[in-house]
Amino acid sequence: MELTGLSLGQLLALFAGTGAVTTALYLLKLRRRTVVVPFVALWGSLLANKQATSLFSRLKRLWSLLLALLLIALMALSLGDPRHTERSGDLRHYVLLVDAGITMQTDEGDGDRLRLAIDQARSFVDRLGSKDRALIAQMDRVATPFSAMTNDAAQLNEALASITATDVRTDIVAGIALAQDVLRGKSQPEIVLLTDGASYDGPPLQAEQGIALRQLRVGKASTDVGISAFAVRRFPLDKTRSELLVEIRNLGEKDETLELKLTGDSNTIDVQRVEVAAGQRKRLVYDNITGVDRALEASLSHIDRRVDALAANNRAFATLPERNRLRVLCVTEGNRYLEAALLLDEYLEVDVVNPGAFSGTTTHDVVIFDRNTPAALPSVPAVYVAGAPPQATVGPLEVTGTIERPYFAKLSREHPLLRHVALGDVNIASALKVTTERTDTVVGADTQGPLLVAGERAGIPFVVLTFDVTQSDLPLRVAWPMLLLNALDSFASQQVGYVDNYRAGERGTLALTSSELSSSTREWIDPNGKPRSLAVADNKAIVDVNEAGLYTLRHGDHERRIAVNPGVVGAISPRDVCATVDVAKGPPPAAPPVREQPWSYLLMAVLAILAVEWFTFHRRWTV
Amino acid sequence: MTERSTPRPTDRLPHDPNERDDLFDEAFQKRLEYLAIVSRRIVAGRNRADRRSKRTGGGVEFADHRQYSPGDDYRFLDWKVYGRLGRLLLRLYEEEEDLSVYVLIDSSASMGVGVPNKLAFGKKLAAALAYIGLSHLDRVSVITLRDGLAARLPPTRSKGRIFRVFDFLRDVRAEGTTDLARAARAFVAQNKRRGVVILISDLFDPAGFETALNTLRYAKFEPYVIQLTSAIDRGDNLYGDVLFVDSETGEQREVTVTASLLDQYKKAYAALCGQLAELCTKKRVPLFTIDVMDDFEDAVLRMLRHGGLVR
Repeated sequence: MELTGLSLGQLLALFAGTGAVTTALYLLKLRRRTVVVPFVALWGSLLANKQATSLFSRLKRLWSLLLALLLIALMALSLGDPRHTERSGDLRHYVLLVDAGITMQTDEGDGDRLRLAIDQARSFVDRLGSKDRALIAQMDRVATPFSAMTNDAAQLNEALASITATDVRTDIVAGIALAQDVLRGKSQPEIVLLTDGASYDGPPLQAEQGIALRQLRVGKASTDVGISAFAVRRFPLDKTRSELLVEIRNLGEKDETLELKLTGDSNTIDVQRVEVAAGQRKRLVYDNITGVDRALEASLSHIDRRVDALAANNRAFATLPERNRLRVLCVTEGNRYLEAALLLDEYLEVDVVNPGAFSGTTTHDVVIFDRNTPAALPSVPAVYVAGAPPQATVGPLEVTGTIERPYFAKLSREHPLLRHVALGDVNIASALKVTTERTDTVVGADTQGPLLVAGERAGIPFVVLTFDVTQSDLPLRVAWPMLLLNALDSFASQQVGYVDNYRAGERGTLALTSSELSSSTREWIDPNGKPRSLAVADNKAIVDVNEAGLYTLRHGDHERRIAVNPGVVGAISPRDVCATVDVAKGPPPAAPPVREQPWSYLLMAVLAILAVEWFTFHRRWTV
Repeated sequence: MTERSTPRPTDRLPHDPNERDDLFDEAFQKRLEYLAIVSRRIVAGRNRADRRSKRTGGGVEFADHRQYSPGDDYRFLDWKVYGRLGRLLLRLYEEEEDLSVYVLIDSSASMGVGVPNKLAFGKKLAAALAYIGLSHLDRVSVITLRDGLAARLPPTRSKGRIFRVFDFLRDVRAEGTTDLARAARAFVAQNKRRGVVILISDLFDPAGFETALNTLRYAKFEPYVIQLTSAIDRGDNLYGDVLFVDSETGEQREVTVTASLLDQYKKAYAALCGQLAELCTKKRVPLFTIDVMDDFEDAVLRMLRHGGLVR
């Protein structure tokens, strides 16, 4: 027996207090009521065996006090909510894993699969016997327990009511792993999967030795069309235009004619009819999307207004990268190539200053030092273009010599600076040989030393070209303005490629601006407008959500939209994921449906004793 | 439809037996008048204000004949009978005399126990009987008893003297012990004029009540017994652990009243009442048992109808 309510100490204190009061009241009651009678002699002959001091009377008083104390003890004990201690070997333990992944949102006509699964789980709970214990867990990309291991039907049903649908792909293996951890060492353990199994396409699953695994399969529907990919990017040199990719997948067994609707910043951009053959993936590219500045949404519907079985993947979202106007200061004695390249981006505000007039401090966002190096590094990101030797330093890098006729022998092609840039055949007259630090990134290098270096000093990023661009053919190539703009974009955290939209259930990071990082009013708002918590690590936010839609990152008056798309749906047809599968509702073997909550029996005993006492007292049997 | 606005007398009995509440207010006096009228109707057809003695004498109503004996007053010879039968017979007439009514009311402490108490009811009863007697031109005397005679209102006549009765009864208080035999002996010794004796008491006397009744009977009085009872006499509403205190002696007894004990007590009390009834029947003494919760008027009229208190 264990107490799940008040502790034993509290119960003893409660019993002692109320018992003392009761005893005091009882002693007061022993003071007899005085009654004046006209003729006490008439009682005389009757009292020989009825004196208050008789043994029977004293015993009766003692019994009366003990009865009162017994009632108090029973009530106090009921407050302790005693439960039977589990006896190993007698109890059966179940973990009910309720799939809440995206495929469980499939409509089955009489409710979605999740609703059917919860109904099955309720039926299961109703059939739990007095020796059964169960734990309810929601299973999506992870398994989350919603209850303790208990046979309290109210708690279990409350846990079932807490389960909500998510837009993520279910990881059944992770759910089973958690269930095994819970059941390890328990008697008669069993894992019950309430799932359609659609998210699992591997071999039949098995639990570890000694743990039974059973699937209560839900769902019948098998046809679905949905958006499997949706992405957008700005054109690098004309950021007013965007390119859009939509991929539609037909998971059904017949061809479908669909209507695809594109919405940008809440305005309809395009509506078109799309025919997708059975099992086909169809990609659509919109290469000239204009007038959209923030967010795009694609929605899919059947042309005949038929409701799709799984509506969750019929919508997709994308956001365009921010287009912030960047203020650039060129410290140069004159470089047409540089100034011409900067003119390509209308979102740049370029100022030019002679090196002699540069004071060392600036309010610009980026500084480009063309063939000169300041005495002290500026407090803003900078691009350093080396001049002709001799030079002691190029920006933060120390010059140790020169390299004659270098070329880009090694390139980090995945580096953002080299996006859409080809430097392999650039001809260079000479370059400075520099020493880099371990944290610096050599993006391009000759065999004798670095030619293009990116890095940070005191948290301030920089890019160094170790050669005089006017002494090379780089300015004559498309790569020159692209390289410059990539450098500026990297400083401003701007993306020019397809924006990596997030998927529900997949953890991702989101680069935060300095103002977003330092803001104390930063808010992360979900698609329903509810504020959520947002974890930040290494100056990046951790995007880890289960619901698709447009999220908002807000601080002050500024806000940013982040698109989260549903998890990937491979199939929606129900599948058997383990050897033991019950298609119909499969209750556990019958067991006496007796709940072990003795407090209610204790109170019933109190009421019964009181009823007997009341009955006998008023009939003067126990007066 | 009109309702009786005057409270019933029993409703107004004081809880404190010694409280000088006006038991005999105007409403009560009106009820006495009503009872007096009803009592006359009960004895309708009879002469008012008289009571015939068993002695023959100078009355006006013929009673019987008897043989003439020398020395008799031959004014009463029935000459018509002599003419027809030739025998000398003397006409006898019933002699009229005043009836003496003695109302003996027990004023011991036991009469003051209970709510409402018996003494208050007894006072009103005594006042009613006295008034009826006075209205019949009887000689009425009211005497209180305890362990002897406590107080006495001398015999008086005429209805107008009822206020003296009221004043006397107002001063009666419940106190002292009960000794009916001793009180009866004192009464007999002090009152030589025979008459009706109405004893109003709860008859709780440790020495019993038989001696007292016999004393009255042997002295040629006509005793009527009115036994007053109340709920506490019967043991009603007694339960649990109680300390009984005797109202007269102060004797105390701790008792746990159980259902069985209470049942035994009720049987004992019923036996006591049975003894009284048996004695009265045997001695031909009219007995009326009245509970203080009974309706006062009904109780009085019941006595008048069945008891022969007036005729």
